[in-house]
Amino acid sequence: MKEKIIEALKGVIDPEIGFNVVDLGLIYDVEVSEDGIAKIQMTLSTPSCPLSGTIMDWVKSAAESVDGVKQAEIELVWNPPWSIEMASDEVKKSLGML
Amino acid sequence: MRVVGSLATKYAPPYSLILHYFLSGIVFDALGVLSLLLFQNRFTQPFYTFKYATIAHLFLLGFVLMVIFGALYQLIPVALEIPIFSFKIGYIQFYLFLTGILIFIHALLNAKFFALLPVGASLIYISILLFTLNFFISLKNLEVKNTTAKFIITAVVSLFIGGTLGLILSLNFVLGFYPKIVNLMLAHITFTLFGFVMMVVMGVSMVLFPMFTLAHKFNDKYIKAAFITSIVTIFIGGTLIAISDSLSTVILTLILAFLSLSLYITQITEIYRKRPRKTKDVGIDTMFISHTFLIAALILFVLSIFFKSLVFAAFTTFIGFLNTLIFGSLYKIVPFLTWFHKFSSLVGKRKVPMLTDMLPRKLPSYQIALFLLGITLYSIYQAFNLPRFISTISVAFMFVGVLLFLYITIYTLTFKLEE
Repeated sequence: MKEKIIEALKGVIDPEIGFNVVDLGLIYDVEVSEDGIAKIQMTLSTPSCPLSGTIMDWVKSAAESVDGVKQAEIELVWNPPWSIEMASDEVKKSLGML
Repeated sequence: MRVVGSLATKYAPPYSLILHYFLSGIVFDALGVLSLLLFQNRFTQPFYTFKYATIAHLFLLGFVLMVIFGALYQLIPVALEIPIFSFKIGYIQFYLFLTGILIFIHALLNAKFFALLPVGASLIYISILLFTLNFFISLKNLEVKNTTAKFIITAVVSLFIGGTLGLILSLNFVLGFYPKIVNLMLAHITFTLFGFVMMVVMGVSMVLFPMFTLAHKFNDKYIKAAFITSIVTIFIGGTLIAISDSLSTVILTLILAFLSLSLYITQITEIYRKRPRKTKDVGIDTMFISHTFLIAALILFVLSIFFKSLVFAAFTTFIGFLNTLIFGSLYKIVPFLTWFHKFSSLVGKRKVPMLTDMLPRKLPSYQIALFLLGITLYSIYQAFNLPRFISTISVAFMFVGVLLFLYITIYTLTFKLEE
C-alpha cells in the first residue's frame, strides 16, 4: 500500500521546477493504518512557497485516489529543512548539479 | 493567524488586482523610456531640475512603485504569512494612484498646469496612505519576524514618511513656505528610493532568489548587516538631511547607503555561488544580471564626487538595475499567477502546462538582450559624448524592448491549453 501511495504521489508535480514531489524529496514519510488512513509527512522547498496549500491538496487527493485508502492526513513539517541533497540524482542532474 | 498551507486557495489576491498594477506599470515603463527622447541632453545638469523630476517620477511612480504595489499584494501573504486586510482597498488605491500620477506628470510637463502639482501629489499621497493603512491592519496577524518581514515593514514606514515629504515638496513649490527645498528633495529621495524601493528589493530578494534557485544553505549574515546599515541610512541620515545644511551629513548618508547596497550585492553573490539550480532560466538569469548595473551605479555614485555623474548613476540604478530586475522577476511571477488562476484547478484532471511552457521559447531572451543593448549604448552615448543619433537608436532599442515585454506578458496572460 505504501509503495502504491508513493507511486501516486509521483503524479504531483511542482509546476515551477517541473519535478514530482517524491523525486524532489519533499515526502518525508508515509504510513498507512489498517483501517485505510494514510498519514503523509511532507515539507516544501521553501516556507514561502506560494503553492503550499495547493500542493498539499494535490498530495491528499493523489493519496486518496489509491485503492484501499479511505482518508489521507497531511502533516507539513519544516524539520529537517529541505535541501537539494534530498532530491533524486535525476533531479540534481537536470538542475545542473551533477 | 499564519496562513502557511492554506494561502494559495484562501488568501491569494484577485488575479485582476495584480494585473491592474502590472499592466499599467509596463505601459508607464514604455512612456518613461520614451521620455528619454524628449530630453536628449547630457547628464550634466543638477539632479533637481523639473526635467529629471518628470522622467524619474514617470518611471519610479508609474512603473517601479506600480509593479511593487502589485507584487506586494501577491507576496505579503506568502512572505509574511498573513492575509491582506482588504483587496478592495487595493483597487481604490490603484485608481487614485493612476489618476494622481497622470495629473502630477501633466503638471510637471506643462507650466500652465503647474498649480495642479499638489492635486496630483495629494491623490498619490492618499493612495499611499491607503496602502500603508491596509498593510498595518494586515500586520496585526504577523507572527513570523524573518528578515523579509523586517525589510518590508521598514519599507512601508519609509514610504509613508517619503510620501509625506513629497506632498510637502509639491505644496512648497506652489506656496513657497520652506526655503530648504534641496534638503527636502534629498530627504524625499532617501525615504522613497532607498527607504522604500531598495528595502523592498532587498527584502523580497531574500524570498525570490532562494525560492527560484533552490538555494537554502547559504550564510545570510550580509543581508542582516545590510538591514542594520539601511535603518541608520534611512532614519538617521534621512532626518538629518532634511533639517541640516551640512554637506558631511549628505556624504555620510551616501557612504552608509553605499555600504548597505554593497552588503546586499555580496549576499546576492553568496546565493548565486551556492545555488543548486544552475540550468538556464531567463527570469532568474535576468534577475542576477540586473545586479551588475547596481554595481556600476555604485561606482558611478563614487565617481560623482569627481565628475558630474550623479544623474548617470541614477539612470543606471533606475533603468539598468530596477527595470531589468523587474523584468526578470515578472518573467517568474506572471506565468505563476496566470497558471494558478487558470490551470491549478485542472491538476489531476487533465495535462497542465509547466510554468516555463507559458512563455514564448526564445523571445524573452531576445527581449532582454535588446533592452540591455539599448541601456549599454545609451550609457556609452552619455559617457563619451557620442552624436545624438546614438541616443535615439539606444532609446529605440529600450522602447522596443519594453513593447516586446508587454507583448510577452499578454502572451502569458492569454495562454490557452491545446485542445
